[in-house]
Amino acid sequence: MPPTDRRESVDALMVAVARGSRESFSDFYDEVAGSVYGIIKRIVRDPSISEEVTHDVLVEVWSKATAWDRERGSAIAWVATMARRRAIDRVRSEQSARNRLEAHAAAHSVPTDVVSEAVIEEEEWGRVRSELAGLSDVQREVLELAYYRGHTQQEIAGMLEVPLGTVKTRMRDGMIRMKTRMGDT
Amino acid sequence: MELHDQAAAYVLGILEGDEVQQFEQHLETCDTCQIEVQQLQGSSELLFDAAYESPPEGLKNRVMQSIDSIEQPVSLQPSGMSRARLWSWISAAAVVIAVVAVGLSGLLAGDPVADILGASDATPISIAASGDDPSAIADLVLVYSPSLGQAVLRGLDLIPTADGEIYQMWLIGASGPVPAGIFQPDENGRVSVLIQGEPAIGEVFGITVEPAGGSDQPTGEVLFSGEV
Repeated sequence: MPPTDRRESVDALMVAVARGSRESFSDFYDEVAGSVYGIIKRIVRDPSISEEVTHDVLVEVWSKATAWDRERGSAIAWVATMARRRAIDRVRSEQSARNRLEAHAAAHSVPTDVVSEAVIEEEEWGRVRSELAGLSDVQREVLELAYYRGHTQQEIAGMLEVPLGTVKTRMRDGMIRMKTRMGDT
Repeated sequence: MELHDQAAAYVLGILEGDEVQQFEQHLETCDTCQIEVQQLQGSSELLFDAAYESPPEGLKNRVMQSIDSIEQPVSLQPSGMSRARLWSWISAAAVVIAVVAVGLSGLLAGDPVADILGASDATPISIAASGDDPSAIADLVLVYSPSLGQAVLRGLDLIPTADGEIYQMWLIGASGPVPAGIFQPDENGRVSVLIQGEPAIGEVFGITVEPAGGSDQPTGEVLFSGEV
């Protein structure tokens, strides 16, 4: 299905969901759950925590469906934002719990096996990379960091040691290039 | 903060906290950014699709079970929404009104009001102040379903009548005005009421103030009206 049609069909499902149709919600789940899970897992990493967060996001979609405002963006964009926010919140709260543990351990001189920042395996990105093929390396990099890793533009500028404006330009150019390639202009 | 270059981040949905609202306010008056957002829209959905992974087995059942016990909370429009925007929103998406109204009337599916608002052919008809009475201020819309042959009056900010008086609705066709029900707005000035009788295309719908209990023929000035 061309991207625009799919976007519209998911929007239509969302309208029915907002009217309280559980049947439409079941169809809506089939349309979005895989990507919602994928986005969350890329940020949270742990599969079982990702599953839990995915569950919570989808239940939130149901209970907040009436608040979705079509003027402000597609249902997919709305759900994706919700998924990313929940995932980032979860990572931040885990992180602060971990920091407290580490601080405690350090204070008591107990050696700890600190979980290192897992590097995203190449295969995990395989699919994403094919969709993002055609982007320059620097464009793909900022989009991955922003959309799939949940970093703010300021954070990305710091990580890559480039000016904020450069991050914004790369992001924008990458998005335009992607749309052009999909013929969805 | 430079707002012009936030369009991409806005479309990606990665702005945080106040940034979203700030950019949306800016967007209302900035043509350049409106075009920019339009151009970029769709790319975040591509990234969404690209993230696909098979969801864990059993997750769907758990989600469906969880929502089983949750009735969707229903709210009025966010208070920040402007009148003009609210109005265009009402016209553009009558379906969403259905949800709002179901909650307003506190009724569940199977109720005639909910059925009309939820009908696939539900059409909003604007009802405007028609007299000179300066107190006749309200946002009113008649939602009419031709297939059901019924309509619902929905509205906000309606001023209560004086004691001993009531609002009365009329359907005014070739044979003159026919009473179509009486109502009072709730304490917040809201109204959601089923029109009695079957409106016909071309008829005029009107609202007057009448003595409590209603009248057989309108005695008051027509405060609001609209054509079905």
